[in-house]
Amino acid sequence: MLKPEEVTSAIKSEIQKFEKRLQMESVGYVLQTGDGIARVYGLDDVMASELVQCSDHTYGIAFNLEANNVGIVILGSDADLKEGSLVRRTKRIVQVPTGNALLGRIVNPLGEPLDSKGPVPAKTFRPVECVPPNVVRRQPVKEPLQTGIKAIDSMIPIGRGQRELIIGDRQTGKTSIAMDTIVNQKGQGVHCIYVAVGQKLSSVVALAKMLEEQEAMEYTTMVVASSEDPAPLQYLAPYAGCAMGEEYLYNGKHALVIYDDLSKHAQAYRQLSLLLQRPPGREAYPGDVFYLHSRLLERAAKLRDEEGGGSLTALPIIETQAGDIASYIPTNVISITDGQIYLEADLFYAGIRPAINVGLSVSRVGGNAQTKIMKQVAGMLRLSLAQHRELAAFAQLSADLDQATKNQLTHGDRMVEILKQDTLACVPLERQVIAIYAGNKGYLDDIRLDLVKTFEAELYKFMETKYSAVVHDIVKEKVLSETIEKRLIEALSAFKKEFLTRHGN
Amino acid sequence: MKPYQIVDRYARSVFELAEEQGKSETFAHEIDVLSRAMRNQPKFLDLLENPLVTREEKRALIKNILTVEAVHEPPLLLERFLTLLVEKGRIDLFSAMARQLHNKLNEKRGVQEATAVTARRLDPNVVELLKKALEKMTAKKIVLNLQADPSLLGGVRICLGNRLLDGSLRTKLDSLDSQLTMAKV
Repeated sequence: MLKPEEVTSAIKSEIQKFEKRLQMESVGYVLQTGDGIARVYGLDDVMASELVQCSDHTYGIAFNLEANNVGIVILGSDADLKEGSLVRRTKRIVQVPTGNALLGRIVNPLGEPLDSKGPVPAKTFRPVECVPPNVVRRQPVKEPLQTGIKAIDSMIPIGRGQRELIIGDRQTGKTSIAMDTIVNQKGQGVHCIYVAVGQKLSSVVALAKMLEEQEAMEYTTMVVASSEDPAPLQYLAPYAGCAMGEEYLYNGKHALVIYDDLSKHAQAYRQLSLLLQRPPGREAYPGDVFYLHSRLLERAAKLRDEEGGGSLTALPIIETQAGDIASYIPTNVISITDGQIYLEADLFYAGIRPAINVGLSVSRVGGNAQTKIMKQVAGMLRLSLAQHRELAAFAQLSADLDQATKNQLTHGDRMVEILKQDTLACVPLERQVIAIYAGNKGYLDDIRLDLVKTFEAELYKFMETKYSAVVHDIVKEKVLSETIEKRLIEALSAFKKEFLTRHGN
Repeated sequence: MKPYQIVDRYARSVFELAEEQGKSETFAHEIDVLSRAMRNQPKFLDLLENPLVTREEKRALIKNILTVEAVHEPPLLLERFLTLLVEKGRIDLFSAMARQLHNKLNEKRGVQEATAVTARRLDPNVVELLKKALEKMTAKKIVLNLQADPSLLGGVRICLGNRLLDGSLRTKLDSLDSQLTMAKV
């Protein structure tokens, strides 16, 4: 219960602490304003990307320092700003609240709440721009970050501290992969931050509701700069989200930041740059659009154990136009990240979901972070699936194939089928291992294609009830030892016999 | 912060010319008067910028105005300066040049202009004290420009060019407000 006397004494002590020293401030006057930017005369010793106060509650960032004016981008509404308005220096850069106070919250890029849960009672703040840890402070990525998606965990594994790009056309399930990954982090000690840049508010609300239903908001923060927000806020959002993740990184904890999506972010930055009359380059993006993304993604890291061993994993998302991954922003981000997951519309419509194009997707460091058992089971899976796709495309042309090719095609089809997965149906590691082992060893080859999903579901149930010791050993040892393999084969043969008698094939 | 280069170049050359003739003070005064008049009569500037009005007409116009305005000898330098600006199509920068000239003269005389905003009109003794204090701080002669703004509530806010010395009650209350309402749990 809040007592009035306590509040009064708290306010009294605050006022006593409050002492404002009179000092010379550097100020400027607005020459011109519009489109969310202002040109200011004065501000003699302002520094690049310093926060400036435009009026009582409007702030801006000094973007362009020119000979006779300072270009400022306004964070928020520029409605109160007039020609001749006073602009003050603040001598600091933009900061956002960080820490556990943000868990379960939806905030804007300045850390102000957008949900109805009251103010954010943060104890710590971090500047949005920050120098990433250097080589000495890092260690190689070695812990896996389980996404709960069979196709990704087996073929394109992601490690904690890695930057893995999710790229694809609109409506190919990019955000679903990110959402599944967040949901699968429950109880893993990974704090998730979802940064929405330039998205419809309705879809952001739907995602928030979905996370709430999955009880994933408990360890998740959403940073939202929707399409109705001014470009400066959209530009700031990924850096703000990253700063929130860094709080965990530098305190020996694990964070996962999803930037959805960076193509919109680049467009917001292009808008700012063009309005500030910076020279346009290719596709009208400014010259430093590469640095825009590289300095953001370079902040993902896995720290050394002496530094606490924290990690910050980044999953940037890029939307391509008609599958063109060779345009400007996609190639930039592909070259910055440690691999990409390429989603294809054709696969999506063919019912292969997640619609991952295995040939074009790769994880450049995750292999080291993959669990040993998964590596043993799924080692050659990516290559053989990529081969299967080519073979299948070729086989469409000819009617009669030899038996070996036919067998190869049936096997490949079963593997594709077993890697299909619904959204929000996260599969734990042991189940993934069992399913992929069964597929790889050909246990599915004589099962009808439409029964593969049933086979999979019943196999999980069978293993967990009748052979729970094997499942337990897989979870505990995480290595495919000879004994485990022998018992696994025994279990699979037993189940298959039973399955075939039931379904008659 | 630098003024636009072209403004500075015109202002500097005409100022040096005036100095050579030993008339920089009167010239600056004339410019001041004219720029104030132009601010009151924006149509005059429009007229000078208008391409439909011929050069001769503009020249005659300038001459007429300056002979009417001038009490003693006609301001030859000002007339020539204005004519030059009209001919080069730079008359739109006149007010910026006037400001720049004003600054140059202040610089030469070691004068610093300051604006003091207070909630109420100040007592002349206080103004004198304020002036002394500012002169001590800047080591320059201060020309104090007084303004009243009741929304300040109390205290004084002093502008010295691009620097601000804000001791107003309003600012103090605002920052106290933001400190108290900052979420702390």
